[in-house]
Amino acid sequence: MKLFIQGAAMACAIVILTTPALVRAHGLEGDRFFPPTPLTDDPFAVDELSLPEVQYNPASASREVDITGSLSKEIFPKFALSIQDTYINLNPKGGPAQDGWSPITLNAKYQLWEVPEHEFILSIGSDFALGGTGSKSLDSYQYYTTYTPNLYLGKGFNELPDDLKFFRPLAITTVTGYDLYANNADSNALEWSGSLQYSIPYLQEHVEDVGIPRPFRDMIPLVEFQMTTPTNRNATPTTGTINPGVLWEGKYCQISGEVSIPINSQSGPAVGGLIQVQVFIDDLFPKIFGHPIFGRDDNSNEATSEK
Amino acid sequence: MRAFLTILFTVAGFSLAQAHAFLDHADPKVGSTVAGSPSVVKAWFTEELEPAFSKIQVFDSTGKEVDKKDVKIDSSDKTLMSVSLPALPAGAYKVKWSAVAVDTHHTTGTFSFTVAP
Repeated sequence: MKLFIQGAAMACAIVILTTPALVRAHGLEGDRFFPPTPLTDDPFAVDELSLPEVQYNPASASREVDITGSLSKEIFPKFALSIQDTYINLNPKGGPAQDGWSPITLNAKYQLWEVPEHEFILSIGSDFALGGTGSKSLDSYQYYTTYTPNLYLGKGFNELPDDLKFFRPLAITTVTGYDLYANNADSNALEWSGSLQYSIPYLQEHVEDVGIPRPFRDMIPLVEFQMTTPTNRNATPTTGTINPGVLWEGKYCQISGEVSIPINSQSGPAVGGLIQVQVFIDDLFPKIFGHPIFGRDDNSNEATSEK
Repeated sequence: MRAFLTILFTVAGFSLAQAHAFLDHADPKVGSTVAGSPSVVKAWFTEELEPAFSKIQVFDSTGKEVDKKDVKIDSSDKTLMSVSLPALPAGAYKVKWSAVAVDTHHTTGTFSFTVAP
């Protein structure tokens, strides 16, 4: 596993240094590109492929490495379905190692409200973690399904006055969801996550060309948070992480790296990290991806004449 | 490991596929203040453009279009789109572009520049 992470890091560095130009896909609201970020599901119902996301959590009781893959496909205009699964490698201190798959998670998402001139988008959706689809070798195996209705939000800071123009590249995304377990034993929980991003491409292309060279002009520094607040049935304190990092946008993929800092001892006493590779499949295979299966929407990559 | 690196390099930049066209740089520069009216606005993109569906417009602070509506894609550099301007008075101007890459990906964007008094 260590070799895998080292190899992935090396490959990321080489790709960043050798890929010539910035080109991004989907996730556009007005001038704003909202990139998919590792911990906060972006509000866009579009075609995305995340493969792999590697997360390393060196907690005190166990050292955990998660490898996640997900695929999202727009079915109808502004409506997408996705599937995700995670391979977990757990090494508890003083106990036997555990390997296996988490439950398969399905997601449905719909872009409910968009205001491009205000770089605003609001979407609704739900996660379905299917009970019985994970590996029984994991202590976290669930025989029951978890439903999580979600509210997704994205907002750019484009309305700031000229005196604050260098803050216009800022944007936020949030996801607020509520875990509903299909059993009576576990506490339901509020899941709340978000990102604060500073887009250097936005600065260069829409605010002021200050001459930042590549590969730095293709980067988006960001801070993400990911929290869980149990709400009933012997609820425990809120747990979560603060995750500063940086995201680099390549021609056909995006690479993210973040450090995970636990917010309290219940969240783990040690700092972890994650690397995610996001593939822009609509750029790689424009005839297959980048448009809904049924119908046609404004996010389609089909040319529309305006002349 | 070898298979992983092969996949990563393939999808990262060594594919023959095309991609979305975004603004690379412009003249006048994005957000710049220029002395005297420029005779043309030039915008370079990250992909070659489809002339039939791409355009660039310049508006003054009242929202009136002030360019000469003679949008051109450079025949020797299809990433360069330009539009001519009349003599502009001092003030702030907004450039709106709509770019369609040769593989039909469609993007839009805006930026501003100022003509100094």
